[in-house]
Amino acid sequence: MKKDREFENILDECLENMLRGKSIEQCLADYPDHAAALEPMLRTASRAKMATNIRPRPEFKDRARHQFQAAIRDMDVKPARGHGFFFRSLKPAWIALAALVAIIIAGGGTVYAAGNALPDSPLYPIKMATESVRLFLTPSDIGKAELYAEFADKRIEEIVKMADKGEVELVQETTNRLNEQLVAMASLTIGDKGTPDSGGMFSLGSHESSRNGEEALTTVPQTTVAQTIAPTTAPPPVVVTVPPYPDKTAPLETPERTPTIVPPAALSAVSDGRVNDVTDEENGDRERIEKLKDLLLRQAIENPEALEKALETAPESLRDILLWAIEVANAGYAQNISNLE
Amino acid sequence: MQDEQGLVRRAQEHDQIALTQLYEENFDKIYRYTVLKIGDRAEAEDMTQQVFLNALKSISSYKYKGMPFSSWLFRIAHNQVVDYYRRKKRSATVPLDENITAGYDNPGWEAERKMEIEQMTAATRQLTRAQQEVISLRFAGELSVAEVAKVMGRSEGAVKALQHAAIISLRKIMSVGMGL
Repeated sequence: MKKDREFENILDECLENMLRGKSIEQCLADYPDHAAALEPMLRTASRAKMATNIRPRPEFKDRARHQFQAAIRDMDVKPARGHGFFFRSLKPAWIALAALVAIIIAGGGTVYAAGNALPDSPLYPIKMATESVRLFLTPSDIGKAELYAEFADKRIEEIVKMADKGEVELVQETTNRLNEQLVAMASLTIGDKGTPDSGGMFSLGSHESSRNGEEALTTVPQTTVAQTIAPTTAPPPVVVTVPPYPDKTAPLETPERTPTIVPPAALSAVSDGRVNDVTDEENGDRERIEKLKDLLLRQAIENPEALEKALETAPESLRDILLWAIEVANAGYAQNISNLE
Repeated sequence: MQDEQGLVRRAQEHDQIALTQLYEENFDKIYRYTVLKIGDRAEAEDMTQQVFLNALKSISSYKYKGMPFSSWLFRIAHNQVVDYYRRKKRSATVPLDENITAGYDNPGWEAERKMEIEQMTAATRQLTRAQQEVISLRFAGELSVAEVAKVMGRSEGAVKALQHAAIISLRKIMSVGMGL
């Protein structure tokens, strides 16, 4: 009985170490006397751990996150001690803003440090939380789109850095996040062009659709297209095609891709064709849209280039994920640029 | 732990950042736990969302007792799973939903991982209910033995013994049933 208990303790310690990233061999080396009995147990436990590593679908995660944020917004905001009247008189969004300001003042160092955190850093969840709060505190769609453009830029940088460290899973996760954010950006209604049901609803091969290659190609739009814009007629629908996520078993070849081309002349035609009697607010919005377009055009060139550079030196295990990331970036930027036209 | 206590305190005051951080840190683990316990993706998705919405409603009643916040969330999830089976009048884990996926975009990996998940879930289903609970909380939920003990309302020694027995059984089931 005592021996059993001793072995259970040793097994648990090894499992704990294994769950924290220690290899089975390292665990066995710690207990050479028990290695023979421990090894089959640890191998089974390792398999169990790997098999339980199920990840939620990105679209579900996105939906759940929005629902949770909405529930936070709907919560009764309790007055802070001693400031009841002041806080009761504020709207939840302003209280969230006040909380954010307080955190920046009190714990600004952490939030600031988290701003540069990479996906393998313990501060990364704070960075994600900060992004969510910034989106929450931004009421306008154009403001949200600007944030998504900034976040997408960060995701690309993170993918490149994680690829450099050979972190396959983190590159995959960050690419999923990039995909989610570019999709979310495309679903915004900016100016009088984007609608959530039209251009916005492109899908970049979530695992749901990529399980079925045919389905992926029908729901996912066609290579990056730039369209000529006639001010007096409605623009044709933008079609963007993204190849399905490359199969690990298929030979890996760099596919020929049509580069993203959105003629600047076409973009300026949009603003030239608008009516003149617009308010200052509309002018301001148009200016912001133009700036956002310029930013996206630059990112659409620079970011896939950065990923292609990472691909050149990437190990085999990362090649297909990086190719996928390039496709996500190409299609995502093209779609969002088209939506602004 | 000190940091987490502060974070939870802020969350109890409905601090948006703190609530979001706790949500992001625990969401995947709670989903993994529910999907393994329920075996049905759609139900597990609904339940995961509900766990966090329930946690949000009752966060002011949470009291720090030396255990991480995730133990409390798993307690909510555990209660919901029990309630689910009571409502469904099911005595054991239902067959694994064919729509459960590992969450990879790569179809090759997806198929490979799905097979792993199916084999492991099939093996886990043959364990006793308490053993299943330990495996789900320990491996899917990434809880320590002390935390699992807290969620299950058992002693740490009992959880270690269950864990030991569960791994022996899994080993036997997998080597007999899957030719390993």
